[in-house]
Amino acid sequence: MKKLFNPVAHFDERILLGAGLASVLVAVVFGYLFGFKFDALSHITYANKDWFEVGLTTLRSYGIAIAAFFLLGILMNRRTRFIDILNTVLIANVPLVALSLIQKLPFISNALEAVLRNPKDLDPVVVSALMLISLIVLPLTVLSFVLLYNGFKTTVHRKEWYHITLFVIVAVFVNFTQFLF
Amino acid sequence: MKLPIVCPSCENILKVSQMKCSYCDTSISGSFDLPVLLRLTPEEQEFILNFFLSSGSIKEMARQADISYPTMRNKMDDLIEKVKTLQTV
Repeated sequence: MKKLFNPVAHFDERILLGAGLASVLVAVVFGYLFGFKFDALSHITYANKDWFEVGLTTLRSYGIAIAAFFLLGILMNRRTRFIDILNTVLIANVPLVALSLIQKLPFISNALEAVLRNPKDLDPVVVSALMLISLIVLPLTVLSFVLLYNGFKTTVHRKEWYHITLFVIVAVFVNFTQFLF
Repeated sequence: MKLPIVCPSCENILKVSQMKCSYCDTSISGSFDLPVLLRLTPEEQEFILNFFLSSGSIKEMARQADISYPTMRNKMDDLIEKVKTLQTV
């Protein structure tokens, strides 16, 4: 269980990097196929079927988050390694990449569209699909944040309250970078 | 037999009060501080020994312990802080 919530503390950096890069690739390829992009680290939005738009926006979101957390890490502990921050950010977003794919499952995608079309008169199947997705969204979002926090804490090795506060500020910032562009 | 370093009653660091030559039975009495390394727990002493035996490679130690590099480095940093504190006491 500890390994699930803090892989950065237990797994070799090359394994994490491989898994993390694979998840980015999945995010870009499926983003292109299904028409979504990560316009901030944990923010998924609709996109045109355009490699450039999906790829650039998604990679930019990851890049900003990695740079922001690396700068913060260096400020807190000058021995912070780039590879550990890189792995932390990539692995933390794996649950959200999975979530973006789950949302594209036909019956869930149809349910979401049905809500947009007519939110007052919903079919029981649609309601079940919505309940299912709400049961999935929260745990995966929490898991993503837990992975980010644990990974950063392990990498930087600082646990004072002001370190945690600065981490939260940067975490909020990287989740709203869509407003920068 | 493990060398006790902490008083079982008050938990303060013990001192060496007597040393004896097992060959001629000569005894030396006094109040000697334990060296810093002996004031560490057996696990911490083993950690330092492993570090030495792996030629000072934290990466190698992490591989042997089946944990990641940052976790091993954090253990090392905590131990360095403890040794620094013991040196000033």
